[in-house]
Amino acid sequence: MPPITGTAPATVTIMRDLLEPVVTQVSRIVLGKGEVIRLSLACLIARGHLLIEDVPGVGKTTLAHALARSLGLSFHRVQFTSDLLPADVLGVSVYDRQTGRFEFHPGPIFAQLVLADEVNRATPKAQSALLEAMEEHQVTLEGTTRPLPEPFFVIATQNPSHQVGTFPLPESQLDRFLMCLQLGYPDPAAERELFRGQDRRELLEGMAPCLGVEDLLAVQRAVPRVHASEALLDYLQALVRFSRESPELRSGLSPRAGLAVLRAAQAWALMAGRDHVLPDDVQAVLPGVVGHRLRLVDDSGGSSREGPARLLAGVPVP
Amino acid sequence: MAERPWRVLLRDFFGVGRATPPAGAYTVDRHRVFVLPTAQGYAFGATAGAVLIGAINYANSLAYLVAFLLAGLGLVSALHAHRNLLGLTLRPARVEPVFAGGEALFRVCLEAPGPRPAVTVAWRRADAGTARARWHEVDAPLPGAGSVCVELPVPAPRRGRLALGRLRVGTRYPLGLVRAWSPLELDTGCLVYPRPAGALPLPAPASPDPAPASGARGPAEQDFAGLRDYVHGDSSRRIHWKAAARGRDLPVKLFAGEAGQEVALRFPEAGAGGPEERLSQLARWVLEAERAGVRYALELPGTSLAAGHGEGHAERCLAALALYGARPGTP
Amino acid sequence: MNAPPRVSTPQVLWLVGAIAMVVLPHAGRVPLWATALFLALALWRLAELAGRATPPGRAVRLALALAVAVGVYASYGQVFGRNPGVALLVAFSGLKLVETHSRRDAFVGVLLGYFLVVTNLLYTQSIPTGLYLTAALTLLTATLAALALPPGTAWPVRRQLGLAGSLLLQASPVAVALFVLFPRLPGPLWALPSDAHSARSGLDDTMSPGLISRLGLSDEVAFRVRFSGAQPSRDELYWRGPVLWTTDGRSWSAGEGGQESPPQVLAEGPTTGYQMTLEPHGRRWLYALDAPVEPPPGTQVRGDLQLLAAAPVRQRMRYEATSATRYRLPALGERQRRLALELPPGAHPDAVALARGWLAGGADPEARVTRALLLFREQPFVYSLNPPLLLGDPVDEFLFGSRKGFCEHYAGAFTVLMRAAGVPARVVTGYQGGEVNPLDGYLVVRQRDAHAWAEVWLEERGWVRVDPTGAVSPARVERGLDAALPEAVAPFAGLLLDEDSGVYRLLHGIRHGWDAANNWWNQWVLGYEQRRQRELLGRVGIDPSDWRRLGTALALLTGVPLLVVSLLLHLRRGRRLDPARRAYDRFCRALARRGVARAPAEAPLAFARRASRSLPAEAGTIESVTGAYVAVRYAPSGGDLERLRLLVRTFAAASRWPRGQSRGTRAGGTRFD
Repeated sequence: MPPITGTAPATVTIMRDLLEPVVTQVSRIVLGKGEVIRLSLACLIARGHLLIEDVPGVGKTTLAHALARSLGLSFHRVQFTSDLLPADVLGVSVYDRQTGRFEFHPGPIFAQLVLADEVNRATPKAQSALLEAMEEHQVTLEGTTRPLPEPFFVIATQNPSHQVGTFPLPESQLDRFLMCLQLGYPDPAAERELFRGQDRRELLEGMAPCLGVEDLLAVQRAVPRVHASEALLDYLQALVRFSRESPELRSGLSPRAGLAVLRAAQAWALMAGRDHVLPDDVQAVLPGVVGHRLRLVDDSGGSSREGPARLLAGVPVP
Repeated sequence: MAERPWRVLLRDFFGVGRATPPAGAYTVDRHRVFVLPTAQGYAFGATAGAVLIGAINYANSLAYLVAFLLAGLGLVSALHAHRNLLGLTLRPARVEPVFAGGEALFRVCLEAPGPRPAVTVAWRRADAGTARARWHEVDAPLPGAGSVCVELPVPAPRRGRLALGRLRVGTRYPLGLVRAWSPLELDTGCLVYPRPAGALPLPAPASPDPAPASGARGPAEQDFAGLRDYVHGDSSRRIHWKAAARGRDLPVKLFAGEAGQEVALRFPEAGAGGPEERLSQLARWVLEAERAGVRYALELPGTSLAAGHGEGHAERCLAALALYGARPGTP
Repeated sequence: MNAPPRVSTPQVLWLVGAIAMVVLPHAGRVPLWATALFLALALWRLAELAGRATPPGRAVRLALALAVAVGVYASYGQVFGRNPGVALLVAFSGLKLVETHSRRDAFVGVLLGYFLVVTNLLYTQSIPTGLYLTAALTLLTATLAALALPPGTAWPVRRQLGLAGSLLLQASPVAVALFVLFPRLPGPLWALPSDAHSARSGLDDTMSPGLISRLGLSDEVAFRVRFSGAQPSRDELYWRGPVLWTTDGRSWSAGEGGQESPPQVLAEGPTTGYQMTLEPHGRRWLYALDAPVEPPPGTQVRGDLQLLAAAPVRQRMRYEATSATRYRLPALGERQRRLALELPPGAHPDAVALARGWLAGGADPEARVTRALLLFREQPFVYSLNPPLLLGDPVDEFLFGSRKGFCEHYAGAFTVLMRAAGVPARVVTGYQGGEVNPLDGYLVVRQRDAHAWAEVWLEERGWVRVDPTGAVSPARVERGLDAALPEAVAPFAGLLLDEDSGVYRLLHGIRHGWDAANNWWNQWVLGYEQRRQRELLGRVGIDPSDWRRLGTALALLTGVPLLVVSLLLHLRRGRRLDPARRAYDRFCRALARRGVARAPAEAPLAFARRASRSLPAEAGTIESVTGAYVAVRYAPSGGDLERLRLLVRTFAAASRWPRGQSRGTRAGGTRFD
């Protein structure tokens, strides 16, 4: 395959055709969740991290695993508990008697796709170890900086926070996730097929990668080059402004949040095979990107779909 | 302020100036713009009249022309003023809650498809020391297409939801001779928390596991969970001196076990005064508990909030206090 | 609300500039001290702006105001009237500048400025004045606009002037409509101050050597004439002004002549009707072509055919008359004969002796006239604008000494000779000739056309006009002063231009153009008074006394321009929208008529999907329009706007008459515009 550069329409089509099988394959494992799968993939190619917020047992882990498999990424899973230490995530240096030197044993974070399960169960200390690594794409331990692999993608899951003994992620940390998605219960048809079908684990074993790592990196590089016209930027700015001025919303979107919406929309457009962003793309990704960053004035805590919905309804498309 | 008879006439017979229902956003349309000369406009008209009389007296043609040009200027500036308001959209912006006795800072954002120079927003507020509300005015010019936000301070004497009331968006553009305005009401309110008051100490924590505050198992042996700022009454043993030496002002160590400590703030226990005094006491307790880093629950007749901590929890508690006794269903 | 907002630096600069501009033309009209005071105060205000001076205190201002009042009284002997009033205004506007600190002060300053504009018009209403004051009005209006800006904002000078200019431009149709239709009232509402009109140049009611030649260099217009029929030939254009009967030996005056009732004029040829537009000259007489047969209404005709108006001509005046250029004036009363033969005793002994010789020679009166004219023609008489000063007996010295003179010398000497020779004679002053402006066809008579000639009474022919100047310099009568005296053509004198040269024609053309513009200005702008208004409105069928029709016309003529202005203002708002967006909006409106309305927050593709579900038949069109719109608006390559427009046009046209759709479903749609 020739190297993929630029965002000429032809290239864009090639990229869509590369990504489409991933969606198809994952959809066979995680049933009836096409939209969430697409958004997760968009999040990944926009070089963002993903937070999935839902009750246990709806398939969060399966989704992460299936994505890793389909993209051919190395995969680690970290179960966050209240006694998890930063070293359990990042790794530790152990004195080797034979060589007489400290040897670094990398933690589970050294993988291309890391699933941080139930991240809100761990103490803030362990959480921030993960989040710093996510932010900087590198780990600094005992004065040595070690880069994380490329691509690097974290899927964190979180139970709804009002359960006993949890440390919900503070707002500033939530901002580090490009998207926050809910899986939700499957619809009856999908659920029935789940009951009827093969064991998910077995299916996972049988999955083959549909995309090379090089391709994935090329796609990631192409995302920021997807064209965003003046009219679209107008729309984006109107959304950001509305979020800051609306009396229904507690805190407005930061410039970083605005940029996150743009990147996600660019990824979404690329997945649709377009070399330019449309308001439709913005509207598709907006709930996932800003849901956890917006708070309603009269909310009852936690992220919500209500904020993005009001944002979308309140801002006319220019 | 007593309504002027002609206003009543206009409103009742012509539907002019009838209050529109409060709206989330208000866009000025041409049916709801009123135009009247300003005091300066009357002076200008008088000048034009004087010029006209001079022109007649001296039979001076160019003086006639000047008089008529001035008259035309007045008419044209009325059109411009009218036009300067059209298409202007006003939207209420977020209002931070305040404590009773403070000043609510309402924010209104104006938006226009093109430049709208010299726009003003007028609102009513009572001045310090007077009970009567008077119109105040603030400039909100829009030099180009885009938006501008203005802040309208209104005293908030009582807890509850404070409404902004009627507004007038107006303009004297371009010459200051006529004033065009449009009355409107925006659906926005400011949550006014009870004024924190009362002298009662924070109720004792009713911790589910009876962990002694100090004893055999000292704080030093508990799990260190973080730092918070010093609050009067903290034991000096808990101050994190190392961090203090690094420049933080007196950080106090927090231990994991304390996260389980909970106090219940109950309406009946908040003093013996009337409901307002009790609400004030509760508001004070909420702030104290928040500062002390204690988890707290709030129990009001008819409402209760589970124990929690943090900015969001404090806001929810204070909001419950602010709206206590308010008609359910009001936002 | 409480304290009026203070003026900003730019606002003060605007105000000082605008006031200075309206005061400037007054500099030559008010006493020097008033101008100096204004300048000093304006500079004081500017220095204060620069932080180099403190504003004068209340006491200082009061003292200055009193001093101004005293000064004006000292200069004029009164404080009322035009000149003292203007001097007061000029000085007070300076005072206003130094005490301007709030916006309200500045606003009063601007109103004062508007008033000062009008005071300028009391002195002159010429086209240059009009242009200058238009600029001043723009500056004043810009100042007003600068004062209306929110505090802390200032616009660039050009934008501020642009706004003021466009406001004035938009106001001008209204002003013109009011100008045309506002009922003009005759006469002043109250007595005008005595100095309302200053002396004007023109002919005097006396004539002495040098008085008319003084006018010879003046290009000022005396009057303009429009002939209703053919214009008489140039040598018949004698415009009669004051007729002079009495002389004291040096100067001539009307004396007691001409007090009789008007004589009978027997026309001996076609009469000529014409309309005169007389520039104000501050005297009662009017000018008319030689012998008025039908004088203008409301004027008095004297016994020597001089026309008198009811009052001195202080405004430009228009009147119509009919005259004869060939006529007989048979009557000569006894008193007239006596006056027309009277000479001061002992004056001009040589001239009298010469004339007595002709009388003694037995020649008949007509021959005596011929003898006198022959004298001028045969002796070396010279026609000149600059005759030598005559110190002794002016007639004798002129006739037998210098022999150099202008028309008044010839007319005076000739009349003296005739009287001495026993022929009744009188001097007529007025104008001769004039120049036709090819641009508007008006005959322009200037001060330099001022002339004096004589009339003699012959038994068989009555009063006969004799122009002795014509005997000396026929060119003066046939072709005008320029031809007779090349040195009199002041502007072109040094150039010695050939009349056929291009430069001459160009300069002449410019002069004609300027003159025609001035005439138009005078006729239609400055001269638009009650009569002209009646005439004009009558032509379009409005009776100015019919208030209802006048009011309707006024409302229409002012309302329509205002409507146009407001439409333009609204169109300007629409123009800001993106063209692709406009086309798409049109498409959405068309769909809304079909029952599918786009919500303002609905994205294009989502709307297209929804619309296609509701209108499956149109799915193809909806998709292509949306695709085209999206490509133009959002794609990097732009897309084809024309194609989008075409698609939308076609679709909108088709959905104007939707096929098979009931009214009910159509009405169900909500419109989002």
